Amino acid sequence: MGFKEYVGKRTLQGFVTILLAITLNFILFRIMPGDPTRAVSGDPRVDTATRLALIAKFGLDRPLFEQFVLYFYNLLRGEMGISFVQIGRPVVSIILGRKMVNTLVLMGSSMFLAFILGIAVGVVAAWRRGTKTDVSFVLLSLATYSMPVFWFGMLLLMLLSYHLHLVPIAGTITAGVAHPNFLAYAADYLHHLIAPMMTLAVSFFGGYFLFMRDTILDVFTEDYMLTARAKGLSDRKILFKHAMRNALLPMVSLMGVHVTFLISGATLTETVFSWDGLGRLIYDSVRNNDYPVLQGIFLIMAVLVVIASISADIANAYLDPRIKEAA
Amino acid sequence: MQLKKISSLTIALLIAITFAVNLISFPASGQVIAPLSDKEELSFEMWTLDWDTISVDAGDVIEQMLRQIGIRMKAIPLSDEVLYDNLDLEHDYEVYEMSGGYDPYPSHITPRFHSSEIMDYGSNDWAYDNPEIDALLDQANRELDFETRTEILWEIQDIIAEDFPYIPLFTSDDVHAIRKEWTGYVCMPGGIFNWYNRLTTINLQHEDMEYGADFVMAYPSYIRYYNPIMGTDGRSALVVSMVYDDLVAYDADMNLTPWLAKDWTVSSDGLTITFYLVEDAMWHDDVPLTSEDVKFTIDFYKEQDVPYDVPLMSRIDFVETDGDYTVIVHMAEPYAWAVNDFEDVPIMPKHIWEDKAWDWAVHPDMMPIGSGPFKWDSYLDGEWIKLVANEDFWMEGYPHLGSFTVRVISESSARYLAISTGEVHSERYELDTGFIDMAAEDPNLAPLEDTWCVGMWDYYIAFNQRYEPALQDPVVKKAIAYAIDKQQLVDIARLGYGTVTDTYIPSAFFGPAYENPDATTYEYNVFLANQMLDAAGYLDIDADGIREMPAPAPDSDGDGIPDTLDACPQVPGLPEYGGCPGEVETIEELEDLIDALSATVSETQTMVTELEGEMETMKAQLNSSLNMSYGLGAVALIVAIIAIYFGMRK
Repeated sequence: MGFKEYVGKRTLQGFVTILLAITLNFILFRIMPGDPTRAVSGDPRVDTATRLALIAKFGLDRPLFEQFVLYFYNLLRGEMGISFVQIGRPVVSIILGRKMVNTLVLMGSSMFLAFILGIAVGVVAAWRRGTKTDVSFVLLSLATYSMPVFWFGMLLLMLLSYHLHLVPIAGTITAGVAHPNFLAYAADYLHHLIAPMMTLAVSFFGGYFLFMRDTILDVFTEDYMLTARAKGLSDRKILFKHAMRNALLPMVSLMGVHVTFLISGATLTETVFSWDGLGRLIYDSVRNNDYPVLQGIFLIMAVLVVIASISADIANAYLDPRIKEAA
Repeated sequence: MQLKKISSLTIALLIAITFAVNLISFPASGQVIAPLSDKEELSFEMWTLDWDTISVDAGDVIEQMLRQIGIRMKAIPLSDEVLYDNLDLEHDYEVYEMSGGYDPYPSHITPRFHSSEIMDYGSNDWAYDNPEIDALLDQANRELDFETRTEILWEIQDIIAEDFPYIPLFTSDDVHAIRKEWTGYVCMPGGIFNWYNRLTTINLQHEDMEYGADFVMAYPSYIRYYNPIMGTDGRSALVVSMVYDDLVAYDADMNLTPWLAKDWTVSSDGLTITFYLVEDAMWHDDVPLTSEDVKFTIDFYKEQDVPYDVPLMSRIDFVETDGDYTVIVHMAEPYAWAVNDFEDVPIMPKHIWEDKAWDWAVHPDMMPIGSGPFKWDSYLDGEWIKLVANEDFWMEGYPHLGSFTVRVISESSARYLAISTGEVHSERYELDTGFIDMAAEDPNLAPLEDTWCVGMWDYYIAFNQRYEPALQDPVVKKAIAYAIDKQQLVDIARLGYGTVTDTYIPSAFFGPAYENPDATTYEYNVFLANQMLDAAGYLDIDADGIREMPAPAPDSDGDGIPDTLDACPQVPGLPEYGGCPGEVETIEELEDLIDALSATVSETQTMVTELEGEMETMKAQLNSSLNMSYGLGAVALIVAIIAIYFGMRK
């Protein structure tokens, strides 16, 4: 099979996956218990007449199959509907906006930090395998890895905001302030970013660290490490030139898998720190049965994941002829 | 290959599920016939709301209390999805215990007890059906004289306290965490911050700064609507009430007070209500507010069939203006709560809303224009809203604050921390029960006694009147009422910050005018409760601690009428002849026949009308099915693509 055919096949596969995702999306939220009509009316004290009118307005009194068909029809026309909870707001504008940027910044920065830290500490620990340094880092990482992230977030909030007054308690920006210029805005934003970023970085760190340490230990058993030693290279050179480079490859593919987090966000952390991102949007929408928003988020996520994995496959195939032949 | 088979199977399964769910979701037409209960003992499931600690804790305590009278009331916390689905649509719960919620005047009475609300999504979810109550409610809603109306309401409450579709327990009171340097807030039933508490809004001030202080309030989530008509949920409504004015407002005792209308009169027949407006009110964009705006607002609701404030708007015939500052509302029928309901209608600027639809998604960049004490200043969607004082507010010397900022802090502990550090000054809702002890000792907060107001959330235990004979029996429910120590519930579930409610319109909330000294109430008395159940034949025969249902009354002739009510217990007979066979006169028979015939005629007429209605519905369906066909085509295409794809893979 040639390269072009391979690309065509993967694209078709991706297309079918997205169609399945759309169907699943629709069904999943509707077999969940919970009546979206309550999301529409919101307040339990709302008059029955008001409720019935809102239910009819959103077409929620129609049979499910009809709703599904209309959903598909609207998607084809590029419409994702309007939020049940924030009535009048198109789903697209809710998702693709400030919330997405907030999540990208938070997840990107914390994953990057955890990644760098994980690699650095992982290499050190692997090199000093069995020593006190290694054992204490492994213990620490196991602890942070298994720690509930919202609990750690609350502790950090207690310490940094409540006792030390170092960081603000909530939000992405100081409320009610008009910033004179972009720099002041960015500084304020970063100030708010510190605590949630630290929380997430600590929670990601354990995984990256353990993975890095294991990979390096694996690499150490390879023959070429023996060769390097036999050549009389310095420890430093062996570690950084040979071991680390090879160990980074699996780390990078792990990072690729984690790219989805960039969009899905960290629901709990975003809630604890009132970080207005997509993770919190998912949380709020699940709680309120805001189907249109949920469908929108998951659809965008599915599409992004499919596109990312197809591009990765195609790039790999382009670089590595073995994959083409295997397919 | 295996994998492909599995995925094709999954698709088939998914499609099958779609259809199955669809089939199930079709409501069965007509009323479901009640299954005969096969309950042998007084053992029920009582549902509570799992996220509401007050509901859950009170439920557990009630379960313990009712053990003393031999009733097993198993408290089961459920998520609101499951619980509300049942109340709204399935209607087959047995008992539940949670809160309803009051409006500033007793508007809850009619929907909760009128039989017209026994429907899907109706408020009478316990299906309490009593024609006498229906008539009294209709009468009360038409009665203009406050005292006569209150007496009717007392009568209603006394009847309901005999039948007991639900037993009122307590209100969870509003205790607020607010930093001690703030003063001027007004305690009103419903809390120091509430959308109808306009006194707090205009009076709130810093102790060192009578005017111009900046107040920051924490919200658990962002407001739902910028649109003043739809902003009726607690979070949006507070912001709406600061930006927009209503005609009237409430004082601290829940009496109506003038607001945008400095005075009003109601004609003796109740058909004409005249509002006299304040003369110096301006919209935030400096256009004067006149009677035309008020007329426009009411016409707007009526012309567009706005689904809010329906009870009021549907009873208004038309509105006219007399000069710039007098509005005359002509009612189609007398309505007792008309002026109260106007408290809920935001007066909207005609020059902005003239060509808009009621559900216009007001874009916040357009700065919602109202006439209220605060003006829209700036916002960040999802995070904060800043309102600034309206310098030209028509009420001299108000508001005191310079600005009012709403800030979203999602997590309750984070909100509390933010108040403790002073980053925010208070929060929208009352303290969670878990923070009360901490707040009581916090030196930075105002003493809780100062912020303690009767709450709007009324907790009750409700009995489904549809199926279980034992739950329809007033004796069982009265015994339950006697066996519940409501004060203890308050002490445990709300740490004492609650108010016991014995009547359906508690005067603690709705004002002393509703106090009825002769109201039917049930003092805590376990002994009496046990005696009542014994006397009614609910005995614990198998000695397992739970009372059994009473043995059915003897019926020797098997005609379905118990011997005690049967005039002829030996011969099977008809109920209308007291259980005797009865002799029917020929003329009476003929009369019956005529009655039956005329009934058939009128039935036929109804059927014709119904058929005409159905024709209309079918036409509408035809239209919508045209739309459907496009969508169906799309789905078919997609299914085809998937099918072809999997077909080609072989």
